[in-house]
Amino acid sequence: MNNKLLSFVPQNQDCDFVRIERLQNKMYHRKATLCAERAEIYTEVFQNTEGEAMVLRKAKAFNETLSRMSIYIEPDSLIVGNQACRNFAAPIFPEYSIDWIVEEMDEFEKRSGDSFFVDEETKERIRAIAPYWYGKTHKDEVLRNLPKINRLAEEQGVLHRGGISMSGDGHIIPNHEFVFENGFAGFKKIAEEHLKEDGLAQEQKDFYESVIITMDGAMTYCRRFSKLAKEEAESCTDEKRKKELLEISAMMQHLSEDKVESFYEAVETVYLVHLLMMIESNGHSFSFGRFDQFVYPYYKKDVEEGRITKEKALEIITHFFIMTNSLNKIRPWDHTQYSGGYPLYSNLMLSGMKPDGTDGTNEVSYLCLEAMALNGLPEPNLSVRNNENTPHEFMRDTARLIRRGFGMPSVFSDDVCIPAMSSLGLPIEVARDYTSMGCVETAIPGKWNHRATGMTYINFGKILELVMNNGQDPASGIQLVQLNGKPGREIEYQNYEELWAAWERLLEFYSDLAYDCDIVCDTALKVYDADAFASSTINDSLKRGKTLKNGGAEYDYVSSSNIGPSVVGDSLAAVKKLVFEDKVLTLKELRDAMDQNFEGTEGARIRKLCRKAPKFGNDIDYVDTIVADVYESYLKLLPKYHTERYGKGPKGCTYTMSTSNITSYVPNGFDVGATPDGRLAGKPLNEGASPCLGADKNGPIAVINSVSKLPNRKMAGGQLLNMRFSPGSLAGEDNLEKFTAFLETLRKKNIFHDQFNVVDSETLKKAKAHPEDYPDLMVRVAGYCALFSTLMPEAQDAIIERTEFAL
Amino acid sequence: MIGHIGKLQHYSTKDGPGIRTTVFLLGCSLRCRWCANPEFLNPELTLMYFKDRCQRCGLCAKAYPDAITLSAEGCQIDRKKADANALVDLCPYDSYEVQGFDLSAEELVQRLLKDREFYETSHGGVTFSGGECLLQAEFVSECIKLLHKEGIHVTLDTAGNVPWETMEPAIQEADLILYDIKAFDSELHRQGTGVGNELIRSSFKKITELGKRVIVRMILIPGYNDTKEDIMQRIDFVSGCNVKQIDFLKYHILGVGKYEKLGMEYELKDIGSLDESIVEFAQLYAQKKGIRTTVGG
Repeated sequence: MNNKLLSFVPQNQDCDFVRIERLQNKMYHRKATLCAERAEIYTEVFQNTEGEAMVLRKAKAFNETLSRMSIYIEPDSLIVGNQACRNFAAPIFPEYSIDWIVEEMDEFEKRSGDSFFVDEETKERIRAIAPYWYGKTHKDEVLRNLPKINRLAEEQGVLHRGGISMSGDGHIIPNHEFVFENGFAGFKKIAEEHLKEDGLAQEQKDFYESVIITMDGAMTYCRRFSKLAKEEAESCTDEKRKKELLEISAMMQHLSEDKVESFYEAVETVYLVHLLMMIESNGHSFSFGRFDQFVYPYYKKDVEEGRITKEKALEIITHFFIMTNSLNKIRPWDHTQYSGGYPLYSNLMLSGMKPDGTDGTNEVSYLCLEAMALNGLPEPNLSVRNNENTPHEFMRDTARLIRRGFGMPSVFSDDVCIPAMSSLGLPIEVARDYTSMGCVETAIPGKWNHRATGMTYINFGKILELVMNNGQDPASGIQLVQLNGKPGREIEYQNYEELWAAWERLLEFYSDLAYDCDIVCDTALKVYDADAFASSTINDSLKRGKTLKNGGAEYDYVSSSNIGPSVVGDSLAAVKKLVFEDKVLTLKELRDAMDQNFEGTEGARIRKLCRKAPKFGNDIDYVDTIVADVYESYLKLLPKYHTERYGKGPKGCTYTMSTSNITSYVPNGFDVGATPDGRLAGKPLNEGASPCLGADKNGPIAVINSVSKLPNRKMAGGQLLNMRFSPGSLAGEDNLEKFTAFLETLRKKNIFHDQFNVVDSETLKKAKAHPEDYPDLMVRVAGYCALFSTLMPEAQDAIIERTEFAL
Repeated sequence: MIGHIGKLQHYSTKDGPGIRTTVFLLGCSLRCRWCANPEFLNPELTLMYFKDRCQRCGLCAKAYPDAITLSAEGCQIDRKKADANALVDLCPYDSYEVQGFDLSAEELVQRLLKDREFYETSHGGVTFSGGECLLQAEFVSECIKLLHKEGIHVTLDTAGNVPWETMEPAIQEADLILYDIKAFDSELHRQGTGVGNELIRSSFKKITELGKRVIVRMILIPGYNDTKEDIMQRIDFVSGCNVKQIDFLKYHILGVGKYEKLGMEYELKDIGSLDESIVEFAQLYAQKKGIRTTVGG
């Protein structure tokens, strides 16, 4: 019996646990590096295809890369395919942006979090190709078109251009059933058929040709692995491994020419498609969707027909999970601060309601929980769905896994998420098929355009600071709006209504700017993120002959990422109570104290009043309703925004709201001075929809009760709640049963999603001081997990400060 | 009817079945030397002083020179002269706190019902503890009636040192009683808690005669009541009353820090740690008599 397993008792030796540990250890000690191969091949192809359509140039470069890049088979692994020349090496994507790579090259290994080690030769190779790209990248195009006022809003610290301003988008979940049924060869055939149609526009012809070229690339890639596996088999002295390599060789040959026919092939294909998308584009949050649902038919057939055992299936899934940690992405430092811990946000969802309304939990759902228990690494980002028919045993295994302390899985409530998706106007059977993408964004697999969330970040905390200062940023002095019509920081509010009106006014002003930024980025991505391979996997790209960014998807929704609604709500509540109702402070006294960061005895006195004001997370209606108002004030604006694809084919093309804002609450806090809730200058804002750090003093149920009052059923972009429990409080069978009940109650309490850290403060402090002793300590960051040692110190502190519920 | 409440603890997992909210009521008729919740001993609010938060700013000493003296060590407080609430309001650094608030039975029940879904899913409910919750038995029994109307399971956690006439109505209402038996020998009981245990033992018998579901809690304090003799006597006594479960609670020091904050002396310094074998002995002895046991409840 393997002591890492949750409840599964293997009946045979088909799953080699020792080998799993070797693979896992390799990933624990992975070292982030860079790989220049892709960049060199793309540069060469781009130089040779000047003047051609971008989608074709990208397709050709993709094909060429797959034909020439170094490939290797990870010793021990049953799953094959590599993204770059070494384990955990990040490829370079010069067509999106290159300037920061050259500028930060010597800093990569000195970073306080997410460091990369780059040898001199690689540095030289990257520097050599860089000049070709200057002025020609996606980022250059964005900067050419970004209005000046947006840059000023960024200087104020209100807006932050997301990754999509300098990288690809990612954030898609293939239609895996469609992929399995056709295979790469099938996709090629579909494109060839379309190409024969009359009356195609040039962009459609270009698209279909690009699909053919990319699928040829994928098939070549498979054949190369087939050959390599065969070669390795020939020299392999271990009989078992030799047999496996021959099987891999046959499988890769088969996948190069045909559709998926077995469970093993299905899992390998999921991995292949995933990593190929991550060679085509450097977006992140490429997600797996409802893995247990779409591989189950293959599993069931193979088990019934005696081709595979449950134990072997567990081994294959576990290898797949571990191998997703071999992939990597490098971001510039300012973006890294927003997403610490090398995240790829590859979400994988288990269980949940099927489109017909019955519960979808199956044997693979359980095996995936077991595989994650064996994996213990940050990817994939595992999630589960819960509804009234979810088996109690499944939730108990979920609780067991959460209790292990590495932050997974997170739990989504069908009772809340399905209505949220329905609020977009989706038919019920479509809404029931939702999955999570990235961290907590929700999407319909195989039908959704790139990106649910996080195109442009809006710092709600900063907007509040501007409200207190007549629209002027105290730090930069920049003033884009004069709330009272006069320049400068002085402003008086006579009552709460006036204060609230100022909030709404500034929120709309900056939301408009964020929207403008989204459009600039999306317009450029239409050209630079023309991803024929990835697009083919989503309905209805192949039908329409368009990439996703060009309007190929069946559905299309976008949401900005809003950071700090709890800080804003707590602050507004403090001003309302202290200044307008109890009149124990004047606005001026409060602002003076904030300017001084509450220093001195008088500052401390005022800060105390501020901190004593009601705080979100304690089940106090007074403030909870104000926080809910903050959400509503943003939701109210959304009908005026449409995505770039509006009217071009996809359904929807509207905006949604989300609080899935990754680690941005830490750097966003750097930019915000002291706030009326008593928060000190530079401290983190609140994470997602969670209470402010340390504000929740009445235990986990009070937090749940507060969050339950938010408009969670309108949060179609995803609502993030993160809680921390002490390990002792979940130890033992009795506590496990109670925690399981806690998880099962979330859906009844209008909780969209909840995620957990089960680790005590003492351990975290020790791990911060001695990272070398804790290589495997994994924590929930914000919608995803990361190895604690890879996070920058400020993000580590924010996790330590999060309230620990010791029960 | 108004109750004097020390604290509500939501998601309690150690005070009865399922997920519970524990209501700690103020006031106690025992003075156990090991008490882990000394802030709930007095029926009125008790001032706590957090030396580590104090910045030695002297504001409190200036405002209340009779009650407070400032030194480099922190504030010396004459608790008889100090106005607790005023100090809590005054200190900018939250060095003073009082535990407790008053609520009517209706108000309390409204708050308790907010966790209803958690009670239902986990087969949990509400537990009244303290202090000695039955010193406010009338209030408790009113709350139980209201909770029962809502279908909520109610547990009482009591040491039983309350006149039978006072406690009986609440006992009658409750679904489960957690009953502390701290020592069998009355003199020993007096040494540890300040009172003998005749009343406690007779109340216990009456409760079990009513056919109430009772779980006995036996605390084990090193060097005080951890002799085999007293443990066996306690178990024999309980066994004779047809009890099905005993929870053995091991002495812990989690409450010690509170004593300094309350300006109280903690008497059980350096008492050493509990011999694990005595816990095993106690469990085995009880099990032989057909009683289910847990450690920690």
